[in-house]
Amino acid sequence: MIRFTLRRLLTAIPLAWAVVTVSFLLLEAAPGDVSGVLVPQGASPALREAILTKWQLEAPMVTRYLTALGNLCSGDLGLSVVRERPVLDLIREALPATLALTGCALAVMVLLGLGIGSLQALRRGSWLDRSATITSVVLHAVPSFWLAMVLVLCFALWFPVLPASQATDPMAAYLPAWRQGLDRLAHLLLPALALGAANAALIARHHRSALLEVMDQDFIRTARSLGLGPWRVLTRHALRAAVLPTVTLLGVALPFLFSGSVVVERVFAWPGMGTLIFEGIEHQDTPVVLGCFLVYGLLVVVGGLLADLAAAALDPRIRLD
Amino acid sequence: MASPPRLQRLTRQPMAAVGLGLVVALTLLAAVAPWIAPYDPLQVQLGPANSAPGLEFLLGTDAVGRDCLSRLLYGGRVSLPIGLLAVAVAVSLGTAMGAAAGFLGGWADTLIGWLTDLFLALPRLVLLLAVLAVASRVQHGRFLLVALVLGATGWMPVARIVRAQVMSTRGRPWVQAARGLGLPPSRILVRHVLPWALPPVMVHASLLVGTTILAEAALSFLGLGVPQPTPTWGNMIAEGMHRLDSWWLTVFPGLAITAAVAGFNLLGDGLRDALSREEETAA
Repeated sequence: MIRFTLRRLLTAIPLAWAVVTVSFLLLEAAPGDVSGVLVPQGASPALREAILTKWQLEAPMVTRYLTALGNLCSGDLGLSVVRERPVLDLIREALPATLALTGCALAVMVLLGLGIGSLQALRRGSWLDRSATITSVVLHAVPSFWLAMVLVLCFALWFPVLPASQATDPMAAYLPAWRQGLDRLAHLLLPALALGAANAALIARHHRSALLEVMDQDFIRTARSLGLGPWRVLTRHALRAAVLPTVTLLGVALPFLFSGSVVVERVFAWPGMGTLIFEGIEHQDTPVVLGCFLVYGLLVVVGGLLADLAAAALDPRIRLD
Repeated sequence: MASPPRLQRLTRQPMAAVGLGLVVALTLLAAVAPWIAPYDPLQVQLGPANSAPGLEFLLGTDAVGRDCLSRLLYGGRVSLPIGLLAVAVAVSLGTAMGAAAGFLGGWADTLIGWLTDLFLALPRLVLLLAVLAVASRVQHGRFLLVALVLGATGWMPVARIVRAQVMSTRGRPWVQAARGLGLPPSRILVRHVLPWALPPVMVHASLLVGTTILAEAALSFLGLGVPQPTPTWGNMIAEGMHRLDSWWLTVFPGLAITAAVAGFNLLGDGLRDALSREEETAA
């Protein structure tokens, strides 16, 4: 298992290199350049020269590419050209917000998806099953950013019970610790729901058919004939076998979740990676964009690895090599 | 074959029939938009700004007094064709990649497999964001550009499907017979191997239209798609973002997107069921 993990992480290296190279070339191809942002209007030629040298803006492309690569290898993501702060710090500030958001969305996905899917499979053919099927078709087709706005409309505007933007209340620092925690949770609820709902529908669908398939198998009949109650059969025997494809699906769904988080973060003014990379692209802040790209790529690789490890832990038949 | 024709088998499933209905209805509405739209979608100050849905303006007006219903109808003329065009690009590209990987094998397979993994490892939207932001100065032909970029970032699943199909077909007796007859490899590939990959690719293409319409909407929403004043469903939602009290600006375009995506998804699921049943009856 350790060898498997190491090998998977090794495959991330060429991937990271390709990601960096591709995004570097993309940003190079962009019209205009950051010097317009950096050099103040009416600056003397000497000042202009000094600024351009400081940021290596006049060095040939190959030099800048190699510098960027070298710095990345030593873990230095460089300085944000626009904010003049280390990119690593910016990412360190933004990453927890994004991880909290996607983590909660993942929880929404799994809980809602498994719960609804299980109910559907147990009550197959009932009105509950049918209405849940239709709901999941609709939810799966809803754009997450639109769902986000509709949620804000319902729960922040018409029935103002939840906050509609930012990750914390501006006055949160003056509150006692437990109220701060509550405040964070309240801010997380709507974005996580908006982000997780569409994928929850996907999971419910897969889980329903997986569970139905498992319920037909011999070992479930055996468990039933031993006199176990339906709840115990479900939780102890059926779920464990049926949950595997879902775990694999989670690994596949991760990039979609990160894609969705970029737009959802925009709706909620969420101070995460999506906002960071969006602003970086807007201002042609190359180091920030490169750093974000790299982190997104790593997140996906690590997420996929975790999903594989979890699948192996759940099913002893899966061998990791 | 004694089985009923395909379309009939498709419409016999209620969900697939609903999907087909949605797709046909929305396509028709977009196609005849110039004739049925009550007003010019670009005309400002048609009525009072931000007026709620009513008799005169069925879906209300936006902040500069344009008619939302007309904009919604015209929006379909951007969002739907971009989705279809992008999927055409994705399917062509994916088929070429998958066919090359599966048929040539060896280093071509390794290289294409690696490329596929690379594209899959990045969140698609982040990639789209970067490419379109780079091309932000391109205003002419933005429509084509968005479609191309969406296609170029959506080919990976198609490539995987085609590769798997080609690998499983290339050892079959009729392919060996064609080889034995001395047919050129390109002809074998096109005439005797690729047709077998068509059914799963069709299913996937239909599902892909749905995700592509969603991606286009997200891009429009972020201001990187087809720019204003041309209405697209995505940029109409974006306009509503800071005027949530005018809920009609947001709600209706979102419903249109949902209907379109659900339609294509249901159609894809129906196709898959119809095809798998066909396989069962054939076996």
